[in-house]
Amino acid sequence: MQYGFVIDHDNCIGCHACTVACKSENDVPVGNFRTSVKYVEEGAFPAIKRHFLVQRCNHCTDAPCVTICPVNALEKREDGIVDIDRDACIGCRACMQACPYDAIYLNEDMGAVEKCHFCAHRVEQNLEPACAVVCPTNAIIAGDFHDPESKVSLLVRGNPTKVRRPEQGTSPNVHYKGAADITLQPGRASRPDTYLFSQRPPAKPEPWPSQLPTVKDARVVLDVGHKVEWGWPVALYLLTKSIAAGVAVLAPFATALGISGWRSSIFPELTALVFTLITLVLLVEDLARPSRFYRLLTRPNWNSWLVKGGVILGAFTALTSIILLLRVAGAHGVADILRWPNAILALFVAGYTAFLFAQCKGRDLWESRLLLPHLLVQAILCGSAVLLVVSPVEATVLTWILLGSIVAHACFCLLERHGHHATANAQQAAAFLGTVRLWDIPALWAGYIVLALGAVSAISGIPFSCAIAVLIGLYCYEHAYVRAGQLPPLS
Amino acid sequence: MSKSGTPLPVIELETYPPVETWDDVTDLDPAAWPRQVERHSMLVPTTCFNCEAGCGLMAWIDPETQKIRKLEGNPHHPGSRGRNCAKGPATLNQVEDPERILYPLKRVGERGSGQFERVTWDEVLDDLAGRMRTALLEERHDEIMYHVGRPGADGYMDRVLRSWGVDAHNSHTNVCSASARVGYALWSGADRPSPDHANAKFILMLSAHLETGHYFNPHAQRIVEGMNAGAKMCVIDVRLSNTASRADWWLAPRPGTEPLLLLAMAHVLLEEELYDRDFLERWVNWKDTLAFLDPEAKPDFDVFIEALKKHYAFATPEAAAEECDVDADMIREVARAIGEAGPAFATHVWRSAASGNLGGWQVSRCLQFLVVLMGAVGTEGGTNPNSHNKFVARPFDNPPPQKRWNELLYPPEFPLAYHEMSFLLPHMMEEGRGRIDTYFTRVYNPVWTNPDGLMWEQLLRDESRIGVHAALTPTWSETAQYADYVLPMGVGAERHDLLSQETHAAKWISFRQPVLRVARERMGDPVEFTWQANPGEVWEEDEFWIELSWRIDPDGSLGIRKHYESPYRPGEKITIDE
Repeated sequence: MQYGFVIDHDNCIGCHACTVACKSENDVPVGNFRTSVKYVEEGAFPAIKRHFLVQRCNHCTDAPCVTICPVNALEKREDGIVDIDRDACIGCRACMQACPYDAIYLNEDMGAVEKCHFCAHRVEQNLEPACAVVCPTNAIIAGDFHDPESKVSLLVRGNPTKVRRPEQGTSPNVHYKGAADITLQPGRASRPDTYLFSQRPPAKPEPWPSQLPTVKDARVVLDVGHKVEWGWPVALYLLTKSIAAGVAVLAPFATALGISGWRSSIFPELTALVFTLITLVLLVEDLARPSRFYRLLTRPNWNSWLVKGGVILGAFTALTSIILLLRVAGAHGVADILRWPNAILALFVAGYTAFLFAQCKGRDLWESRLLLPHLLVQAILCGSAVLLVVSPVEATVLTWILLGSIVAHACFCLLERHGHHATANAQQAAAFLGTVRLWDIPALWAGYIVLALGAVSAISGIPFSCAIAVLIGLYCYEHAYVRAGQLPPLS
Repeated sequence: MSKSGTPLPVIELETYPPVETWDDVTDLDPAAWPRQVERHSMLVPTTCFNCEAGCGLMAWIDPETQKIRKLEGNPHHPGSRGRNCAKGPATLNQVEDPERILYPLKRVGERGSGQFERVTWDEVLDDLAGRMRTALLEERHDEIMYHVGRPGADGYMDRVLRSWGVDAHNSHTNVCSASARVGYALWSGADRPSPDHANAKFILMLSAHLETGHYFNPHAQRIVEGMNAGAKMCVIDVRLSNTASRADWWLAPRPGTEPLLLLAMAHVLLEEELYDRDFLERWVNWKDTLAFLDPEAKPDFDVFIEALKKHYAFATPEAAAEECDVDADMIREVARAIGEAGPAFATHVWRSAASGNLGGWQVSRCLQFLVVLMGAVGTEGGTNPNSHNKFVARPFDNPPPQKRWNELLYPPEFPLAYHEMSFLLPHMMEEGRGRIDTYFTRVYNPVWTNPDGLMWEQLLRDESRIGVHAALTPTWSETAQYADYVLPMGVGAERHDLLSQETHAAKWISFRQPVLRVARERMGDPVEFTWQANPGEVWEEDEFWIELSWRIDPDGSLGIRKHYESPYRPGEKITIDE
């Protein structure tokens, strides 16, 4: 079975009855929507049309939200409905990054995510979803797409229909009949500050990048707002994780890099351990329900890179601790040998986020193939900057590694910002990369400048200010990258 | 396909639980989901009161807590057919509004000070009835006034006022629909249209019935049905409404020029011989019209047509284009499409251009002119008079019409007033033209909605002009602020009303009922007054007026009491069920 909807925009009058019936049925909090109607106006007076688009969960055949959920709170039921178990949810909001349709919201009262679940509680009683029942013009038709004789199957077979964002490869099960293209392609219509009846919700205040073309005389005049869910803790997590991974990757080469004594033996592992723990704290604290983080262990979804990443971080923490203990016990030989497998683990620590971000199907920028090598470069950059602080002044090899990493990082930044991106969403995010601000300064440029200062410090032999500059510069970039990825509209 | 090769039946989901289960419907608690927690609900039908359409609603009631869980539609309601607009399910927000007034309140501070205390319904009824009895005994009948914004019922209040022998009905109509009504009434007496959109071939709207206006939900259903069956739609509206956006033609004339735009269409219908000759000859008083147009002409229909063409010769599409700023070719195109539709021509003006402006009545008059030219009156797919489709039930007992004329309602200097000159009330009072002893406002908020709210505030503050003001209202309002009694009255799910509306080419009557009372009675717990079952002590007008009238005339000496006696139990007070 595969339940789904046909939305008949030849019949829809944009009246919002579905929105309200859904809210009433499911007690949806103020400001959140499981279904909503977007209005787009196209043309100039008097030749102008207002188009509608009813938006909701697509109950995808290949649902990325189910794949990414670390605790199996999202489920593809046998009848095709994608359902959420709010009691199981830990509030990591990864599903909100994975959904290419902005269909999921965080219920802040519950600390759990919610979305359209096809009124599964009604379906169990053989009743249609509330939106389909209320619709004055029969524009919402619910049914089983696997039954060739069902109303929805007949409608899809007998009419040209479209889905939202087919390029995301999710196989949506909400099919649109008679919907205007301009409503289906996010970012094609401009978004003025003022909507039809209100100000535009200020959830994403960044102005639309001037270099992104929009269709002339087409504007979104009503839509719900979507907040940027992943903020500074995620940007900082990328940084702290890079530090931990970077020093561990460089640790086996400590002697060769000219570092000696305690600086060589304990500092790398101590640094890695401290920053891994900070990383873990950031990850747990960013949950809407931090007290439930243990569910990652008790009900793991092994397909989710959040779980795999957790395991990698755990293994890395364990091995790093063992190496430290061996040092304390005086077993330096074994500790030195164990640095090699730990360096490999550290590469995973640095790089797994690329696989996690690739599961974020709603964030095309993050799905870039450049991300994995870029993360590794960032780790080396952070590792070398931190090690430089404790290394002798004449550590020229480390300085060259650092300078090389800065150049490589800058190249990746330029490629992400100005390179070719396959999808409109990624292109939009790349453009936003240039406009995101941090403390009211363009973050990308701030990152470039501060990193350049870091390079100058390194060459001038002022390692402490170099490390500070490198870390601040990289944070600026992480901030821009994490935020920009979430800025393009998905509806 | 089954193994034997026969197709398996398609199992589609149901829209509503089967009727036979309505006393005890089992469903799953959405708050507990995905845990499957069963719960039981009693389903009680009522009708919506968030506009005048009276669509069906169904309350899902928790039998244990006696609370409404949600409101859905009623699949057996002929107007709404189980479907609703957003305002239907949102009734629950009104029921549970944390700021609603739950108990009768009496003013304790100065008028307008906002200081009230809770009183009992008995105190309210005794005080008001005593005052009114005195007024009636002292022949001060004109000092009683009932001013309604939203009646919600057909005819009930007219009966009550007649039983008191007063001319007391005031309304909001003259800041709303009066001008559109008069434009229609001048044609045939019926003051509203009842378009048969579902069967129309051409729909002409001076309204936004795909999203607003009375009858929006039932009309939207049928407009879309009609369009799916091939009907074309033209919308004349200065705003780009959703309706205008769905139209095949959207004409946005300069505000106030709509009549000329419509006459230009009439001009094309006449000049291109697209009108229904037989209909006009049979049903229109063309001889009188001809005598007016050309007193010398002989009474011949062809002569009449020529005279009519001459009369509207000025209204060319080009002239209209100039005046209205609408493309002349488009006017012609629309007129020809109307001509092609013939009698399957459905139209409506829901206030819009007709409302609240000088000459607005000509909009509906000119619109109906097109309907008459096309012979689309009372036809399939045409535009019926509302009286064809609206059914007003006669009460069991009809008091005689009042024998008084209250000049605060229909002042003598406005002999052509269509509905009460309600907006002049504070000005006439200011001139000292009368006093009101007992003033009821019923879902009426002139301080906010009338153009000169401050005049109303001044009047309502003045205790020498208004003896006592009782605001019957489901919510707080700017007008309730100046009341002596704020009397909480139920929303759609909390009151009895009989209502019929001309939503489509059929006749129906709906029954609104206080769902919590009905649920309690179904469970074997009799309820004397609706306020005992509603949230707090929220009441309903129907019972309130019975009780008040009974107390005005407890011994029957004023001739009022007899109209409130049970037809089944002589001499005893009628109950709402009776």
